[in-house]
Amino acid sequence: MQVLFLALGATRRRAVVEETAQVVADGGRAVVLVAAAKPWSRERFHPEVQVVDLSKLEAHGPIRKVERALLFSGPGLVFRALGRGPMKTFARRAGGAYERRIASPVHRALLPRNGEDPAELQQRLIRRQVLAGRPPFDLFVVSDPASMPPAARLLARPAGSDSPAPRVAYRYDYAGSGGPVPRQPAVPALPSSASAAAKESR
Amino acid sequence: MAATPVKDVAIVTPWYPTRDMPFRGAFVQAMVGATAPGCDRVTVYHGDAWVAALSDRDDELVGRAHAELLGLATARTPTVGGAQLRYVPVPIPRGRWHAEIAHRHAATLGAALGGKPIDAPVVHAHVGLPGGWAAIRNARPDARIFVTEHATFLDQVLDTPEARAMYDEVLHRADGFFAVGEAVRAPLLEAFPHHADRITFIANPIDFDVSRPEPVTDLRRWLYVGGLIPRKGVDLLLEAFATCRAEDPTLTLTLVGAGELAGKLSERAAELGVAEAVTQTGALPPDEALRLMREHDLLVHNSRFETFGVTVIEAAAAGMPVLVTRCGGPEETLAGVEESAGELIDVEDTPDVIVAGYRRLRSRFPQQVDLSLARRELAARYSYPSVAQAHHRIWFADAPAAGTSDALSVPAQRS
Repeated sequence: MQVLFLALGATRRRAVVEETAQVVADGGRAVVLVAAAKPWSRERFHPEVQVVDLSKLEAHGPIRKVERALLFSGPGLVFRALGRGPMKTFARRAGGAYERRIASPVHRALLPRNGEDPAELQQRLIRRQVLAGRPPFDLFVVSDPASMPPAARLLARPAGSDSPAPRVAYRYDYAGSGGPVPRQPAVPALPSSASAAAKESR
Repeated sequence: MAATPVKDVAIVTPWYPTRDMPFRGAFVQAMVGATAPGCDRVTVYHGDAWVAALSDRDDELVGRAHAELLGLATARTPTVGGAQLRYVPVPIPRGRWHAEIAHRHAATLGAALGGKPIDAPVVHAHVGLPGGWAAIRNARPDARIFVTEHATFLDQVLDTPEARAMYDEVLHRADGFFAVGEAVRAPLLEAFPHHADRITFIANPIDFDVSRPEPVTDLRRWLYVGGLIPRKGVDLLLEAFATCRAEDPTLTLTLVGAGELAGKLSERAAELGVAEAVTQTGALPPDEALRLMREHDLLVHNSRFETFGVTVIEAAAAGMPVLVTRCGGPEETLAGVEESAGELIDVEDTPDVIVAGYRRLRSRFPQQVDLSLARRELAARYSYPSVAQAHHRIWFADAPAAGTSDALSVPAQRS
């Protein structure tokens, strides 16, 4: 069984690590899609589990590479060159301030100018670089809240589509078995904090 | 045409063991394992809180997407006792209070059910908020609803007027409301005196089926099972162990559980010079913890507060003596067999009370400790059959007898 774990929020790391190992133990293949590698740095996946870092996929496009070089890598070199000897502390602080106040806001501002919704871009990356070119996944395991919107987009199927959709589960252990699960009637969106009654914060 | 199940029960719970949280809600799983065999159909709805840092915008997107996904992720999987489990994650932005959490559990369960009510004539929820609230919001109008409260943090739950009003509504709608001990019942009576006659007791079931191969002969291998958190007093336990081990170098201590104190306990064990005698296993599945109980000599439980104290009864079931604090639950659950089961000590912020309790217990062990008697008495109160009968009696008081069900004559409720 080919199983894709969507773990973009990295909030249930232990469950993902253990369940992917279980997929391998069951003779299947597990791919874990993470938003960035850093939150997972202390986790140890089974060697046969493939971990795909979405942030690296995003950085691999030609426009992103140029943008990264101009905004981050190039200025970073300049600050490091300046930061020798007595200027070290000043250059380090100035470099940090530059990234916070200039490079990152410009990076964010450039995203819409690429003409694409970030969510659409993310979905296209996943389709092209994770889903394409490999056997279809039998099961999507949606592992945290942040993974729900991309999972719903990936599973939204155009009318008339006849290819089998993967099954969906929130835990590998609870995926059940058998073929694709028929859709239930549409249900209303769940309430967000706006409609839930209580507003207190801890 | 298939016959409609006669003894059909839905369990609604926010706590149920999972791979990453193997202890959480083990008592709910035990209740399902005890009661399901006497029913025609039992379905467990586990609403698992998935807490994450979410902005209002993200929260909205997650809610919309989750509603779509719930229609796809509909699998039910077998769980204990022949029951079926439907797993329903409940996304919750970090920092929300109990009232909102309960609203979200109710709404998410409703979405998972496709907007239809829970298809069962009996609904038993665990924990007033959020479980009871999710149950009363999603049960059929004609369903009989029961709630068992276990929470050790009722003061926090009832801290806001809205949560208190919601809890009051749960109490009003429920056909039966149970506390697992006086430590739970007392704050409920204080908060809702008008429901005093409706809040009674029910016990958590404990598995007495497996006994240890060899009886305990010496109190050398200490065991602790539970969270490694301040409330459990496990830091004082380690200090006491070091003192006792200075007198008897053959003593060992196994800490089963996980928590914020894990690292500090390792460091402190090294400072005390007992690192080689202390083993931390991390969190283990309940079955594995029970196996360890049969391989150790003494359960030491120094908790500051327990509503029931499942591990204490589990230890007695495993044939091991207990050294346990009078922290709410244990003095009730062990009532009448305290000296047979082991030694009770007061809750104090010093390891000396544990050391003194251990010395007293060791001095009268085994001659003045009757573990067989304690085990027999406790089995009559808390074994699976006893607690199952109590549940079946309240659930199916008016139902016709089903082929697989036992006669329901022995209530396990305590007075």
